[in-house]
Amino acid sequence: MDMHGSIWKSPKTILGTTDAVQIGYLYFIMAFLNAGFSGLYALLIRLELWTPEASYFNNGVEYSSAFTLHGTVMVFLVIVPLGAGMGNYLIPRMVAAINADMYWPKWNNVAFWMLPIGSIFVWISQAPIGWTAYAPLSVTTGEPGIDLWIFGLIISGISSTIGSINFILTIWKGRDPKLGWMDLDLFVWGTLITSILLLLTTPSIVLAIVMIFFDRNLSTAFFFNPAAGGPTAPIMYQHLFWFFSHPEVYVMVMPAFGLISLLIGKFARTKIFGYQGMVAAFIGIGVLSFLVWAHHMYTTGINPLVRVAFTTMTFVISIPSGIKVFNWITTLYAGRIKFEVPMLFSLSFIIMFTLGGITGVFVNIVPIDITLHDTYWVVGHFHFVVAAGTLQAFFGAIYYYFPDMTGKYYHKLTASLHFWFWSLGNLTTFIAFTLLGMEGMPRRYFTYPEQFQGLHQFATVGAVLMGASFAFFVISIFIGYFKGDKVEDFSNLFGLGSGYDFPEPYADRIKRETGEEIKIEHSLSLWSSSFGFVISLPFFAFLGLAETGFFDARGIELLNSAGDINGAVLVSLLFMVGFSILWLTTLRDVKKDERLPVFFTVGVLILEALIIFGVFTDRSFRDSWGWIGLLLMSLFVFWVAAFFNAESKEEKGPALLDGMKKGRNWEIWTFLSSETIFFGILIGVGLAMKGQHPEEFAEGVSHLAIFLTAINTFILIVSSFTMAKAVEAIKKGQSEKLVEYLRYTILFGTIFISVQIFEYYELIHEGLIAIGTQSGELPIYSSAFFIQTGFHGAHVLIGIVLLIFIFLRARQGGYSEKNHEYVEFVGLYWHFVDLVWIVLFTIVYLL
Amino acid sequence: MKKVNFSLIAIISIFFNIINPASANSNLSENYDNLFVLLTIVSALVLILVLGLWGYFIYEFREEKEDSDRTPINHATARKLEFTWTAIAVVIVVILMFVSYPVLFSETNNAEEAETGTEVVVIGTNGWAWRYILPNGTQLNETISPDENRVTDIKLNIGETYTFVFYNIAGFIHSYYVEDLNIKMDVVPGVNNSYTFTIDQNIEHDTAFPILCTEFCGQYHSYMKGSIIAVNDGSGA
Repeated sequence: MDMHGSIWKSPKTILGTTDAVQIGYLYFIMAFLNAGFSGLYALLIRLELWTPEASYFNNGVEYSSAFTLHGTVMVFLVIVPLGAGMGNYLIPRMVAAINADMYWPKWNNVAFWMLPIGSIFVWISQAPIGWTAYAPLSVTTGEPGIDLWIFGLIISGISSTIGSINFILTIWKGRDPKLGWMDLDLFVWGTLITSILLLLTTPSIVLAIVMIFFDRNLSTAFFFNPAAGGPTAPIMYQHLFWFFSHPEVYVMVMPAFGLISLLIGKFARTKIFGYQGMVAAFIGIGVLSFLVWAHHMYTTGINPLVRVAFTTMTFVISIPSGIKVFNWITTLYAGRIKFEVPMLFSLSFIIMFTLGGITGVFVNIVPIDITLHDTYWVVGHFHFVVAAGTLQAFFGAIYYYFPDMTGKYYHKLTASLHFWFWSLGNLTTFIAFTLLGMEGMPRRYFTYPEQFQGLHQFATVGAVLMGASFAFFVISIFIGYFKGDKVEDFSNLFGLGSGYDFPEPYADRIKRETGEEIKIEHSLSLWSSSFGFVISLPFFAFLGLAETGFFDARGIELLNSAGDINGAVLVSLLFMVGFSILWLTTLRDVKKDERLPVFFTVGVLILEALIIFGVFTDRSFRDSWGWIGLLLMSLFVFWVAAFFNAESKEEKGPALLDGMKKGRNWEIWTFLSSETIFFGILIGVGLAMKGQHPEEFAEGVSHLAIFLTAINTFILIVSSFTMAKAVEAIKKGQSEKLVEYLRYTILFGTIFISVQIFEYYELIHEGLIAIGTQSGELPIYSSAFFIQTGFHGAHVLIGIVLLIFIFLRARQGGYSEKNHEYVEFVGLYWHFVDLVWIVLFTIVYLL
Repeated sequence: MKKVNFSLIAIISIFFNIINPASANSNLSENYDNLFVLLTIVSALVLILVLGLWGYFIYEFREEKEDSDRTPINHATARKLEFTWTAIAVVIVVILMFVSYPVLFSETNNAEEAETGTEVVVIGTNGWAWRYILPNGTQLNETISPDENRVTDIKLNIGETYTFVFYNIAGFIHSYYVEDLNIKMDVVPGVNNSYTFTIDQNIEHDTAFPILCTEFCGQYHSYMKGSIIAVNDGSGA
């Protein structure tokens, strides 16, 4: 009973689908592909550790790449996408979404297609820095792969930010108004809190790794710079990293909480115990998870009082987690438990999560943490939570929803084998890890003292069990897909006497109540997925620019010191070719006048392949100004793709229904909350650097042209005023006035940018405040100055691009009294950017 | 049920054998051992409770069992239950805070504030090795063994209080880890941490405590070796 049609009909549907359920499938496939490769890396790591001395890998760098990719891929490209996939697959139906889809169907497509691109970046990077990428190691290590790794994470970060906004809006604004907050499934709550966490913390890691990129390629001095005397603020990186990565832990586990609550209730044939308590626990964990990040840093020598504060908060966050465990167990009470594979996974989850929680409490107590920190204890702890916990929940859910996906049951025997091998493997490996940690075995060791060999071999045996179980998983799914038993009765799945019990779809309800027919269409949008691919192009061009040493001499050194990367080049070229073929095969089904996005994307892919080739093989290419041209060109191409994505009329997603149109400023407010955090962190970073180097900052400020910038600030404020006038005009329906005011706003914005470029030019030529080739005499001040004003400048630029969009459309009379929400969006964005400038001007120039 | 408890007892006894609380090697080990034992007991109790309830409910309410009493929990009882285990969780957390805080405040890593003993400078280097500058000015450098290990040994007097002051001249963070003495301190470039400790009087002459690096520092992370050798003939630093 696949109501959503097959996605495999043609490549065109694979690329262009905007149906959340189908995009969910794509997420699953992508995530499990990554999981397979990443699991293979885990097996190689365990193979290496079978004996104490070096055996499988040639050296410590190769081994480091293996565990870095295993960690990075599992966290960012397996668990988070699985959560997003489950969300896509279930949320629109669980909230009876008004348009029976995600709030932004087209952006949903964009967000997904950024993921394969990000994955390729990460896979070919072979970065040997650990998934934490602690500075200064990640700055001083030579491999150019680290830059690819950074861009891969940024792209997947943008993808998950778009995804989060989409989930928040779907749940908050897109759901059937008849469904109250307390009618929602706990998985919806889990996804909502998860999305809020992702939205508010992703800016932190993006900023942190961008700073590493700048330190590596633009000679800034955030974490390490020889000109600034070597290390500058290595601990700041850890704060930024964990401010993201601790909430990330809950991002990974909360969708699993939701799924487990659902599955246990289903298979015990009871209602989830303590629904309200569970919701409260979700919210509690969500809020508290922002306040515990420094518990990863007890051994860095941070202030003992800080440690006391974070220990306390971490103890407190364990309370809601504990409540959840007891609620799940009590849900079993008075049930009639049926032991199908999804239930086995769920029951096992409870124990694995408890083990993970208990081992976590140990490392929160500082004296114990001082012994256990960064040993295998920690590795055991988070594998219990993530691999044994979260993944089990997703496996269970995939099996439970398999009949819905295919109309058939999975293959039972292999599925059971999957479960038992996985659980036994989990227990063997992770208990061995925990004991190793207790005996003092440090993490990330290529070779190790002989006394640990026994336990390491135990762990390896467990890993092999897990590897086998993953094979069983694949087999069970494939047999089920091709030959599985047909589902006879969807209201009696697994003989439980109940079906999936989604709430009544919105369209059905309206038809039943009013007789009005609402037609829902899940249309195709090739321009969207084209945009998803094109997003990486400016990154590629910028990477080429940086990597070939345009900004300073270090790039060339890095490249020369790099090892053999031809394999990576080959793999990435293969991927580009593969994607191109996928796109070209769509031509069969695409009408002649709709072929533009196909050729466009294939062109972009060829360009990207050339860039990879140029960066990593043809070294004569490195000094040419061609890179600048390429960067500008790619920005233009990006702009074109964005324009077509926004404007393509024949491929509009499902029409937004009236109920959703009210209060649509929500979209921009949700986005701006993320931006607020971004600039908040940026300003915090600046202030922290100022606190450490007050003299350099005092010296630096005295060289700024404050009067000029004050006038510039005034110009920006005036542009905010004209923008407000523009919005006011269109609210009254005066299209011509709108065009006029937009013209002024664009003009003032451009003046602002021009003055800023002039100011940069002057400063760099003066030589004191500069980064890049002409590294200045005040490296730390320069870094803070340029990153703060530079990121703001980039936002102004984006604002101007958006203004030009609506300006072009306004000239054709595209807005009216009733239809002008995009003008309002851009207006709010513009005001926000101006407001940020007022704060930045005060802090950077005046204080 | 019984099966479950046996395996638990086995796990707990493994825990106890490994930590062996009698082996306090330094003044810091005692805190660690006491807290670890306490926490192990608390965790074991929680785990028994969880496993017990989990196992019992699975056994009692499985589909095949005909004669179980399947009366659902009524609303008032449910409230009481939720309240009970929230309270249990809070009590456990408060107990843990209560026992761990005094130790927390007594440990400080700031070079200026720390109680001082004989000062030894520990340097983490770019060449993935530890170096020491002893109070008398001698510098101990590493020797690179045939299997690429960078080994630096340092002798310390038993019973004497030492303050290790950490410097890092590398482009990456190291972490100085002596498991047997419960010392772990990140050696961060540009940050001067310190650590004060005393080797216990009961330690035998010539006992070696191996040193490892616990912060990932690149290619030779696992090759940073060496020992603290406890001596009672006064030949230590």
